Amino acid sequence: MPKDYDPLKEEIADSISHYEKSRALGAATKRSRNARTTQLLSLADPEGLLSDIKRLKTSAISNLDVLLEQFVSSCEKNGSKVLVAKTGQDVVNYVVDLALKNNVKLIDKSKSLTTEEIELNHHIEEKGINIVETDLGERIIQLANEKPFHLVFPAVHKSQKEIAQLFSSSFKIDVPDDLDEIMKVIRKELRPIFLESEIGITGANVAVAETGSIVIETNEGNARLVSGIPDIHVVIVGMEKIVPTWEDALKLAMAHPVSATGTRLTNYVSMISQRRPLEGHSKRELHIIVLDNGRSKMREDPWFREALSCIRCGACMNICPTYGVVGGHVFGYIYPGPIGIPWTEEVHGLDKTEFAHLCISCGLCREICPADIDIPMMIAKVKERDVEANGQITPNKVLSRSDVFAKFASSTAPFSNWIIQSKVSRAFMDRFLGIDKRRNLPRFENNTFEKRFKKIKKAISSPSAKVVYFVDIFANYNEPRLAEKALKMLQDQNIDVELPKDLKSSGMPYISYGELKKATKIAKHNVNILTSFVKQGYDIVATEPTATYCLKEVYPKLLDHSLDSELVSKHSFEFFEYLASHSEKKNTKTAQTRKQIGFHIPCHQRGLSAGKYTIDLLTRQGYDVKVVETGTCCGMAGTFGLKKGDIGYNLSMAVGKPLFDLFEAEKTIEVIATESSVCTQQLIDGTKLRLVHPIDLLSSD
Amino acid sequence: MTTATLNATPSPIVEEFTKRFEQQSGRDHFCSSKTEALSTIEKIIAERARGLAYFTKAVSQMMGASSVHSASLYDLPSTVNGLDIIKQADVAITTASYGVAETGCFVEIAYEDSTKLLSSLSRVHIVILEAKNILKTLQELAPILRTELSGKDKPTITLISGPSRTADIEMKMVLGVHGPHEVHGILINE
Repeated sequence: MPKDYDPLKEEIADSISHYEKSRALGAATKRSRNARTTQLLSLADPEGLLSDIKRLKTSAISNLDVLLEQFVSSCEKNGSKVLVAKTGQDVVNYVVDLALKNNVKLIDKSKSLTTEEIELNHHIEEKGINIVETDLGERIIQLANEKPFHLVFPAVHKSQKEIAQLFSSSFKIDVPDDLDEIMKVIRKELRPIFLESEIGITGANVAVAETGSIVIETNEGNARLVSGIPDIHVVIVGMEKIVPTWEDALKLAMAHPVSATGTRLTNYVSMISQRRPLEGHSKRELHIIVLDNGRSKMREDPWFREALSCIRCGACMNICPTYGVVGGHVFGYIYPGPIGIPWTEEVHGLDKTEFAHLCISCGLCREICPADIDIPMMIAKVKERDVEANGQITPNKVLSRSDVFAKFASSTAPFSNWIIQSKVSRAFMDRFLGIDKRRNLPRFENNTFEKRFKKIKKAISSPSAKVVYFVDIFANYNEPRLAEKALKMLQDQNIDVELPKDLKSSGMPYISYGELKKATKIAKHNVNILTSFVKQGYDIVATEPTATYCLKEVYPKLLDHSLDSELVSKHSFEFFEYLASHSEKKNTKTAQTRKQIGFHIPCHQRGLSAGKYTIDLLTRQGYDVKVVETGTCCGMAGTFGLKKGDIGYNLSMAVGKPLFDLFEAEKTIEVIATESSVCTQQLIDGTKLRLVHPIDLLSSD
Repeated sequence: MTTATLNATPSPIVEEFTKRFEQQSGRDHFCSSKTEALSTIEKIIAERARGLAYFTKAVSQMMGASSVHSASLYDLPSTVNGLDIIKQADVAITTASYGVAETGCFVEIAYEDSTKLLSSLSRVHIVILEAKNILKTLQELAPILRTELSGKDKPTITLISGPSRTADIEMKMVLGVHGPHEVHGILINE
């Protein structure tokens, strides 16, 4: 029996029922995203900064063994004591020994996710030593006995009122619901801690091999006190943080806040190389602990190596649609959010990574990641390992085989439609297949596009270009009418169109549900066929953004970037992108006739053209196009929103709600255009507006 | 930004530095001489101080010891426990070796932790910088760091962009969490 994931479902249901909390979280993540975009655009060379980050992190990870050795030797030359710790337990043992040897009763700390990873506080408290977090957010979490909700804003889920109550009960004083008063209380509480702590523990945002230095970034300045006052300063740094030079370190010091909060530099950037003297204090020590805890193993694993490039900016959780509803306690173990999935699986184990099923494969985390980490594919791998260990749940089994189902339903249509649409069978599908009965399902056509193609294909004697139409499931089995129009639009431009007989659908559902072996088989099959066409001078177009996304982004990854997969990737285009480059640009209608139209950008299109060619063509045709967006997913995410209950329809609708509200608020918009078949379904179910495919607006028929 | 004299018109680099620093809630004061800088500092202390003002040794080296002592400021004395003195400081006066225009930050180079703690613990931080030492980009700092850290004694170097801050409660910005509530930059453009 596969796992039922009931605890996860309960947590999701609980999050969805606290709508105000979700809304506040959504607003916070959106604010961070917007600030990030604004700050990036204000830089002289934003693309340069981002590509530098990817390059320098990739290079540092590949040279990690050499850099580690250099870092350790530089630190030792500086007089610091260094430990390379294999496990979290080694760190705990070292710190506890140090504390006991020096008869330490009080330790203060600045924010460090690496110490959260190994649950250091817990282990130290067990020895009867008092350890106090000094970052405000971390202190709140510590007092509430919780784990961080967000990498950058650990206490973003707590309202001011809740914090006032927490401080009241923790400090046994009456703290009013007033920010200034709360700040006075925390200042007064922490000042003696800073002054009396005998060991100060900090993390490090960067470690610099050339001079044996560490960089700590804080806005509050608490790390300056933690690293400056106690006679013993202990730094705990993950080994992936080492870079060779100060040039690299300063780039990271800028990229961290730009990507995390949309500021140019963290308020205090401390660069510490050696313990400095303080009058009246004869014994000043600096201990640097470099933590492995699974990182070496990650480095050896081609699927997870890139995760070590994470700069911990939290941008991926700011854009993740489901994280935005449920937050980091549900969507996380200790490391929350999308990047938290591979990290948790690697350092805490597969059994702690159930929350991987909250990933809906929208791919947005990859789009926003400053280090361009392919987080979605790592998550797919984690899901695969989960399926191998625990079995596949029924709805995932059914939906990952959407292609088989569609073929069958289409061949038996219209009878199948009658079955699918009947209440009795929907109740059956809900109960036994896990397809939510509240979801509208598209109708299937017996006369598929494949069948029609031979009849309507025009022989073009001297074509201007040659393309393969990658038709995918929906346009073939559900809306062949659209595919026909697409074909005509291409042929009108004197383009020769081919429909290779044996092409399979994209296989994206297999990736969403962790069936990578099947997905790889499909990728290989399709790439083989498409390569032979590309070699004969064909390009490839798809009307479904997810299909183009698969061809361009996913297949090369699945096929280990084989020459053929890269060739196919290079020659694959979105339908309107291709059409725009193969037709004359002309404005057909005057400004007076403009009709307003809402435009929805599907997630997988964001990584491609973000709809710019379609919007341009629509505008030229006289439409007044307004992109309506939350900046994240509509919630459908392929077949995710078809699934029954909390890991499915309920969460899908909760993710979509802010977008539905935005569309509803647009009083002048009656029609929404989008190119994705699944987004279309979601917006039909979530709004009262009419949905059209841009092909319907732009074809002459 | 306050400009005491007309002939102290800042260069584009200084202007960018000031713009960024003030966006981060810092406040710059332009001075065309050390004398003017001292009187500006005294004025800030008169207006803002609620307790004792201390300065680091680097300040007296930079400004000339006699002139500093003529002002009503306290030198940071050598004591049995440096921390006890720092705890009393309401205003800290320190120096920055460099500034960075691109990010609007001061570069503090501290060979003793008393310097770093003074600018971390006091409520008002006044930091003096010669405007000619403002770099255009953060990357220009890399070779400087390498040089500063090449000797046997390796200072702690801190980039300071403004008052201590947090947005940990409902993402509302609050200044002066543990450290300075206000930071004044004294830019000397001789």
